[in-house]
Amino acid sequence: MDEPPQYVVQQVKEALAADPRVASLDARVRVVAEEVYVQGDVGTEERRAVVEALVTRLLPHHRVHNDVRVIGELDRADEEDLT
Amino acid sequence: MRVAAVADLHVGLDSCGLLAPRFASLADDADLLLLGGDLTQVGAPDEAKVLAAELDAVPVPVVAVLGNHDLHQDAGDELRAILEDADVTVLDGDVVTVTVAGCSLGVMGDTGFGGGFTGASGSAFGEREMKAFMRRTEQSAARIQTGLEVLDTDLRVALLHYSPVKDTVIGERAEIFPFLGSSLLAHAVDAAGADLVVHGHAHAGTEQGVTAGGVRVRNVALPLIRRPYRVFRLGH
Repeated sequence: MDEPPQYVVQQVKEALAADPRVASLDARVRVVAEEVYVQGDVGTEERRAVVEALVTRLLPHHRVHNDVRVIGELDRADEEDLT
Repeated sequence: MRVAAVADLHVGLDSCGLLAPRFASLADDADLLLLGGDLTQVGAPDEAKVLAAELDAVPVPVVAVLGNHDLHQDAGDELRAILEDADVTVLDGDVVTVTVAGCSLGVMGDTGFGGGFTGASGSAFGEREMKAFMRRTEQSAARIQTGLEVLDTDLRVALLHYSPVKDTVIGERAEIFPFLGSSLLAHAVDAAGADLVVHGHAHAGTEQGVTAGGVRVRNVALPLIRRPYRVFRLGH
């Protein structure tokens, strides 16, 4: 890709949305020179790995920083009293 | 009445075994579980089968609506059938009543849709695509109002995927607010009255809000609440 960073970001976001293994509509992508930062939350380690593979394939000359978090251990459910 | 609620589970084929443990203590925590849409990743029937298996041991009634991810493959009816076979009540503009210890709770369930919020909302004007977009939301709002009005129960909850208020999408980028919900949904809730609205969709939003008419709204998107579910105690 040899485009302005804004268009590159949109192309990466569309790829992350279109791939059914990820289907992420809310990943945050930022391109700074030859570095690309991807942030957000996914449900499994597999999806996090797919994000990295997709971005690496799209931007082979960029260094990919995969800051995507896996929603793993959750806090205990609590109760809100609305009576 | 204790109502557990969560949205945006985004179950995929790689989710086997992940959800069931999260619901293990549900019987101690709540009388009912509400699922506010985006149950699956891309709306594939096989994903719904994974979810159905994960919900198999849930010991309380489960009521759900579909979200935009669940409708991605135009297989909403198939998903609904798979989940209904697993004793999940999937609402699409209709209602269900659950009674616990003599207290009746009616759930009006609808996916909802976008359009934006008061002061910055779209209108059914101009191109036919824009009119179709807003009419989809108007139809949803009409179903929500009618559904809540017909519920003759002690408590009434609206279960949506899209947000009815701006409050609970704050945290998302303002540019996408019109794709996260619509004030038309809140107007419908306020016209009919309700004890609570729960929704998802806005993963980076805010948990708590209130409609202009004073109905509490809770965003229970899993990436936001980071708990298996939230529990709300309702009653008069």
